Amino acid sequence: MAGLIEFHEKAKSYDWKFTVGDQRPKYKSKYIIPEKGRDPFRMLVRDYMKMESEKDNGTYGFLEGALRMGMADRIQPRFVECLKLTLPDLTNAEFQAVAACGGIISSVQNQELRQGYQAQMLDEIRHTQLEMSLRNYYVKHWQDPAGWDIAQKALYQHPGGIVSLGEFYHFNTGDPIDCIVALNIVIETAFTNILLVAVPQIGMANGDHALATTFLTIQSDEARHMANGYGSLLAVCRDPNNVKQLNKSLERHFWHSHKSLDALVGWQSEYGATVRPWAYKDQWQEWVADNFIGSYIDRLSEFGIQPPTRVAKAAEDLEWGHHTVGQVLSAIWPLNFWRSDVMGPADFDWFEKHYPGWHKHYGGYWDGYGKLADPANGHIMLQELPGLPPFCQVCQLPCAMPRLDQNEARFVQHEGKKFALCSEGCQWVFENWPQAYAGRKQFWERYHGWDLADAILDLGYVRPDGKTLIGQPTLDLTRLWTIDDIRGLKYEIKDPMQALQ
Amino acid sequence: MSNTKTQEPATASATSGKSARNKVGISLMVTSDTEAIVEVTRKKYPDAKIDFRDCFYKIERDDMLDWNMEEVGEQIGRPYDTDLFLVNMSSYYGRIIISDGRVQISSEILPSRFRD
Repeated sequence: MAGLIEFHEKAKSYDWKFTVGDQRPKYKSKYIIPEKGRDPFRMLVRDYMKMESEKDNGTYGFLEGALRMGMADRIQPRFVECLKLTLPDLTNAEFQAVAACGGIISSVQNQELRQGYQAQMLDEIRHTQLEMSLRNYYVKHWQDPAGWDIAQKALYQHPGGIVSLGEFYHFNTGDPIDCIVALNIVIETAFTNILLVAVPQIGMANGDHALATTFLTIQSDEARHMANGYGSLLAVCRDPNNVKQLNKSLERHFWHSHKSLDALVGWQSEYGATVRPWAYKDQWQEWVADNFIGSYIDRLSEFGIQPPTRVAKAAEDLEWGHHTVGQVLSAIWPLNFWRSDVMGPADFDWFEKHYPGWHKHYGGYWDGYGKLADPANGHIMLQELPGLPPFCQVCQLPCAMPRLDQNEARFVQHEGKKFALCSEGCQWVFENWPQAYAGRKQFWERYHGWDLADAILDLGYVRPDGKTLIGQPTLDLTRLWTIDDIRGLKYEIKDPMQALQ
Repeated sequence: MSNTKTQEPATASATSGKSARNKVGISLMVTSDTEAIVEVTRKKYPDAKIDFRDCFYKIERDDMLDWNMEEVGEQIGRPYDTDLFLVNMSSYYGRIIISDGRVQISSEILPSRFRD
């Protein structure tokens, strides 16, 4: 029987170049794209179907078993509540990636690479189905389904969802090669390893075996996507005229991915866990710095590819960035579609051990936060703040990074309007591609002058009784905050950028 | 079965991007097939670093990892192919090449498949 190599070569000997329709690239590229290019997996539909069928049988079979064993009852609540934000974030990435593959296939005239991207497009659809099955499991079997039932709609209105929108739009907007840099090279080769391979270990430690099984099988497809990226990169960087703009693209997408993924995945890993097998910064060092930069990007130096100049700054940010994200997301808890949790003594000890100085910078905040959890106190953390932090026009994180007392926020003018940016890296991105970011809407702008209660109702973040908030400041379900409690606060949202224009 | 956590500490060289490495690695989700692949790897590459991390194994080695599906099949006790191997592979780093009955991950930046 003929082997893989023979089948693959035979398939290629047929007319892979389609002969119907317009053969010109749908989206033009500023890069010169050689027709050479290789799919290291030699993916054929025959093998793809066999492989994915085997994977799905295993994964869906496990979900059935999880149901029979009542495994949802054994998950640490903190973990699933934080997932209400981060899992829809991931599904958004999958949706954007489906569109990305369509754009790439329509634009890159290299038949072998196209075959790899066609398989990837099917993968991305498979991932949305797997994630929706997992979410269905949570909706039906998790102790508090509120938030899961509206998760995708809720996501696109929430500041944490806007972070993911801002990041994952890069998959399918702009030059098709830049899309490959953003999707296949930076996100799928570097950052998804932490989310989809390392985070399952956190899931297991916190009782969520269904998530671990689902994420690990998703990443098994991402492995082929990495190879698509490598095949594409190697084809493009062989033309020296492409190298300068490839390096610039890598710089841009590495920085933006660091800001958004490290914020969200770092927060899920540590603030969504009761049991923490590792510290996020150590995982980043392993998967991003060593495996991606050291064993991949640095090895491409003979082609002129350079590691992003801001790698060291990104690593430095990991000390505090996701702690500040945890602070901000808990401070705005009425605007969330999940229940937050109070960090307690065991958390304090763990954070101080792994992030020396944490207690000094965040301990007082969490002490105060815990005291305000009961609605009978009639007070929320937002009222304690002198003002709301603006969101960064590029990464959409609050301009309070990496730590409130080390805030690197800055403001720039563009076409007569002032924009807030959270860091030097985001300023560099904005100034190089202002047209990609200047039009992005801000969350506070939408609700400027609104009573907080009306904003929550407008967002739809209330439970089926129409009064009880989905977001809560603790996991305690005995006395939940209602819209009347919030209205009693008389808290008016003020967009900080209004005063600065 | 070891349960060691062997993350190396942050190094200035890695984070400054001046640390080209010859290491390659693979992450295999925990399954019965993976247990067999790990055993084959242990025998073939005594110098490989094999970490068990609750739901996956991470295997790392200098320069090259190369699995022959006949050897894996013998360990499992039934015919085995690259498609089934890839079902269990969650991730890798290095340059991967899939060919007849073989999965190779090389530190070589330009494996022969990319040279023509």
